[in-house]
Amino acid sequence: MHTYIPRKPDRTGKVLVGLGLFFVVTLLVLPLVLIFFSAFRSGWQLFTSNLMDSDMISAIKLTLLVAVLTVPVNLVFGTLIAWCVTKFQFFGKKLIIALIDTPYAISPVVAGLCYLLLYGNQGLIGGWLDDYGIQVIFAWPGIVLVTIFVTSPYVARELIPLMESQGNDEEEAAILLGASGWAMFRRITLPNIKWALLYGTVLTTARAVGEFGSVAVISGSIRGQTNTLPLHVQLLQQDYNSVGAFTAALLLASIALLTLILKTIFEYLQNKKHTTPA
Amino acid sequence: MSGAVSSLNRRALRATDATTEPLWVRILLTAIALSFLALFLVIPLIAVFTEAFSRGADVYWAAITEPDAWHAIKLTLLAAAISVPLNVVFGLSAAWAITKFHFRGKQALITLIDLPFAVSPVVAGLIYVLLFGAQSWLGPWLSDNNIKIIFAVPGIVLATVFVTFPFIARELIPLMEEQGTSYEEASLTLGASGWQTFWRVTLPSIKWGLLYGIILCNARAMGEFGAVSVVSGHIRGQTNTLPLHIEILYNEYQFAAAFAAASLLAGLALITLVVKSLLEWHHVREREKAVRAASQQA
Repeated sequence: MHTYIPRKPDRTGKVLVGLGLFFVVTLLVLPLVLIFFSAFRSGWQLFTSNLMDSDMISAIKLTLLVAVLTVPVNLVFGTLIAWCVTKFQFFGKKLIIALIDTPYAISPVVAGLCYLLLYGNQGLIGGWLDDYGIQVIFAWPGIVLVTIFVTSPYVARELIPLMESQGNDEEEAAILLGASGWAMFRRITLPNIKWALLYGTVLTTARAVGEFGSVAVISGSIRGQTNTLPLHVQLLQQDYNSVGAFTAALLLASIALLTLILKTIFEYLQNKKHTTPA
Repeated sequence: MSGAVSSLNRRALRATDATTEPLWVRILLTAIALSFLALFLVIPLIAVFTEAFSRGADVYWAAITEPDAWHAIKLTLLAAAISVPLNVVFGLSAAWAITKFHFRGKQALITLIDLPFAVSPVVAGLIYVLLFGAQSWLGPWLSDNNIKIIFAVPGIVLATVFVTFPFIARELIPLMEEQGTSYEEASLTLGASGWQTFWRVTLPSIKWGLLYGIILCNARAMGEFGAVSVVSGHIRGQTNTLPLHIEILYNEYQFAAAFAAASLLAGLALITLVVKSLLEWHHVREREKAVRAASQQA
């Protein structure tokens, strides 16, 4: 590995860094701060009454339910896929690597339409499910399915570069010393990737909570029933209830901020592990 | 010495018997991963194409060349043509700054790059309405000077830039971190200017990663829905992008037309993935060639 001390920037470097930070602040940070202001602009009372609105509460509940069901599925499959791809050579590996990025490459609306097509009443799987009285489209199972689709790359993509750079050496040593596959995973692999895995999970959660396009297509936006928080933001804004919209947006923005704070902590811990000699 | 490195590399690539799981475990794990991917990714994509062509190629062609659809396609291309170059410049400079320098606020910059991933697209759209909308601080000034941002093309471009912000930087940072700064340092010691170092040393070594970042950013830019939906106002034939057009068609029960438009975006996604695979293949081959050349010299 390279051990080097990166340069301190000279004057032009400082100007460039300053320019970069300026754009980041005006384009990313300032708008977020504005959301907080707008939500509280009309006073605390209006904020809480909007928050306690029954449609808002059911939207929050549905969003949490979706996140709780989605994140564990993607956590398991993300780890599984990253593990397969980085520790083994097998037929179809290239295909898996390419397919992991599909949800990034595809438009959320198209993702929603795909599921509508498959699980709708006239769909391939939907007709069969309909016979058993299982409703997927315009109900929470459909929302969970598209959310799984859209958030599936995050954990795997967090893990693959890390696991690739770590290589197989420690795992091979564990096996040679007689550890079983499971013991090796638990004692060697998992501790190595712990923080990246946690960040992947946090990012997946944030995406799952905030997903809009595909959920909008598949949920039918039935108020109080299949309305998630991002859909509710849009509905409130179209109703010209801007305080309500910004209250809901505030909740989503807080989740984003929390995600970034956790990211910083996890990254710090991961780096500390890397740099402290064993 | 480089010969030793190359043989080590080759050994690491091929698992030996002692470190391999039993055959059934490997088959089972691979099968689970592949069937998960097939169920969630491949089958839905195939379904879109079959539905788009279910009424024949004539209906498909008519749906795409219809004026509103054609306008949506042009607007989508325009938005991508503006936002992708902006993000290339930003992504490159952010990755460069982060991996080659130490400065105050570096950690903050790394964290902020992920902000668009963490923020919901609706919220991303709303913040631009808040900044540039009629009721905002800038609103009166903008309308006095007859500048339209919200419900117009500039708003769509801004929202798209925000949402596709992280893709290129995130593609480059791990790559550039792995490569380190030793080549750049050598080039500077040999008297190259900063700009020469970038063009002759840095750019060639990151070009495949950069290309993939660009096509991924492009696919996202063309497919963005949530943020654009909030800022665009859905004016047909004026501020409707392709993803918004698909939703409108679908809500009007024009399924064949909706799926025809959707197949364009799905096709774009497929092309993105094919190009990605080609780039990766090329990258691996180039690296193997370099290793071989190094071992022959040794």
